Amino acid sequence: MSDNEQAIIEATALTMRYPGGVTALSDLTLSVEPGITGLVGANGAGKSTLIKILLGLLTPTQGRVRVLGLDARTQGERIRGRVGYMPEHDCLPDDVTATEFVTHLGRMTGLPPTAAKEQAAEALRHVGLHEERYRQIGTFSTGMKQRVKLAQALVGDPGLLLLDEPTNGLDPAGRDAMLALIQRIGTEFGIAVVVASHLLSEIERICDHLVAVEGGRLLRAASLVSMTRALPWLAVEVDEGTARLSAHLASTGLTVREQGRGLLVRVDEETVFDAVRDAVADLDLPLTRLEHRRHHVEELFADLEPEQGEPMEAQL
Amino acid sequence: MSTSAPTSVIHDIGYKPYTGPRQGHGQIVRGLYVHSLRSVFGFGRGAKAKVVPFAVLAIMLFPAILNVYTASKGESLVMPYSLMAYRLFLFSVVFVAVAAPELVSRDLRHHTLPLYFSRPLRRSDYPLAKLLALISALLIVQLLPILVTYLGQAASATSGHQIWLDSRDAFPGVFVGVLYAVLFSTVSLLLASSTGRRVIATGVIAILFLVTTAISSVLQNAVGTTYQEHVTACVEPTVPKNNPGPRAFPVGEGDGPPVALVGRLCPGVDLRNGADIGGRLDPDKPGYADLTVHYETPVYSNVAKVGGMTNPVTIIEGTRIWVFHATDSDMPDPSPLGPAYAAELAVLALAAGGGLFLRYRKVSVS
Repeated sequence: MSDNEQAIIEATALTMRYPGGVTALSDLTLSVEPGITGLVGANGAGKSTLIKILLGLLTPTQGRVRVLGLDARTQGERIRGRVGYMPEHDCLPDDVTATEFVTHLGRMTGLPPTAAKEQAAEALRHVGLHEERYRQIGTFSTGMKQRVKLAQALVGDPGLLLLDEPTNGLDPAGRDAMLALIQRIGTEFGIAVVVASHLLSEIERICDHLVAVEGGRLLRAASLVSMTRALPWLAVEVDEGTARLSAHLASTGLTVREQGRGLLVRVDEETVFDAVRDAVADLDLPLTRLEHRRHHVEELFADLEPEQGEPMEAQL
Repeated sequence: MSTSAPTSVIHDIGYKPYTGPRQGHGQIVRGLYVHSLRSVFGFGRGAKAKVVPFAVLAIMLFPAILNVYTASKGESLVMPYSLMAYRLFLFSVVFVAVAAPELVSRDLRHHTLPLYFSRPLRRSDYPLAKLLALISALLIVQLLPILVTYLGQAASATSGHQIWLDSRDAFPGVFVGVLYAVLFSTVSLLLASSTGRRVIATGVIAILFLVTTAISSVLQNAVGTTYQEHVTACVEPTVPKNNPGPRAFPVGEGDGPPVALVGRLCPGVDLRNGADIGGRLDPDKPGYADLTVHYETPVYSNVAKVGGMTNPVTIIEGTRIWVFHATDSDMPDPSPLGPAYAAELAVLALAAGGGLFLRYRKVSVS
């Protein structure tokens, strides 16, 4: 492969079987390039196991992994010095200030004392906690805590960030802010980011590449454009006159499908929203639901055969 | 173009990659050790976190300061070196019961461990740094009083030989201090690492030390001790030598001389368990008195000797008695079980320390 040198993560035929006989990963081969990569999969799909292997904390049963050009089997310590990891679960003490906490973890990453202080201040500034950095973490909101978790991963200028469900527990506004932040880190800061999530709808907004895993196997890996081309659908539900609306919309050149009691209208361009609104108004129908579809990965991949050509279409 | 210079400029500094040095594994472990040691004494925490460690340190230093005072007066020590840790063990228990949960339970409670182990630290580095930090902290608490006493003694010493004698006295104290630091640290850290709830960890540690102290105390004193009566006669001057003043004690007018005086005048008499002292003037030797001292010495059964093995504090004290052939202790001489005490001490410290490392080998990161 020509882009071998610049691959951030290179996994070949990776298999992980736990002593109990559970196979978490089987024959997973993938390559992650610089930029933001979404790692999607339902709970239990093997995301966490993959992250642990990438950090050199678990030794795979079979296969090779290279992270930042280092072998995860033998050079885990060096990898962990250059990779920032943001765990899914709460991991913050509440009785220390954000600065102290991030500084300490900067030291644990290998920064000398003064550099750790400077880098901690920088990291907290980048995540937008500059003003609050001397406050105790216990007084922070969920969104701010999530930012502290990101800051501790960011401290020490990692070559790769592994973010495990970074939007967990956030409200929509906090979610948007977190995603914008991750996007900024991936683009402006030039740090490779892997975002593990079970919410495809979130990841699709910021990722350049997408890796979907299920049952420990690679479902699909592609650049986001090719993968989510067919994704945006608008769900419309009316109390009566579904057939009339469907015909009306189809006559204006929109792609319409029936699903359950409602309709799915493909959003090819921004004007589709207006067209649907006008159609409902013109026909004077009682509108009960108008929703931009958000897909959970479980839903998307529920009964999907990996070999199938256009899974997204087929599912919808 | 405007000719006036802008009054202020907003700089977007942007992201600057870190290009400075990165430390190796050893320095990171040292960093964790220093951080942990500081946190034991509450540095980098609020004022509340400093109360217990510094209160314990002050209490431990109190007898040492009295020792310095008595040394300056030329009197004997209030509390000898070798007994400091034993007599004040309760405060060492308080110290570790607060410090060990601070070191390990916090990280368990807040699930901070994944953040450590996703960094260059190895699994064994974390318990190693924490254990060394607690041992060091406890060494400070144990050895500072000895150092203060020693410096006081040295300052009041009149000859080099006296300093040498004092150094010899201080050595068992240092030895015992190290044993306390190692055994208390390993045991209390292992207990604290089993729970993320600090209150429970503190309680479990305190209960372990106090309950075993009670058990060993019952076995040693109530169950395992009988008293043997002794009668000794000795002849002593009724007035101090070289001091023809009033009589040192009344004779024939009551119960005899003060207990403290008898202890010094009649060699070999053990007055620690109470005594009955009678005296009359010696008819044949003017100026002297015949004293009759009834006293008791404890006789320890095997129950008492084994009982001392039930508690970390008495295990250390028994080991000290065995190693230094000490006779100044409050607890039964473990002889011939001395080597068993020492062996148990070693096994206990190794098992607790090993358990601590095993516990962190399997910690999950997610």
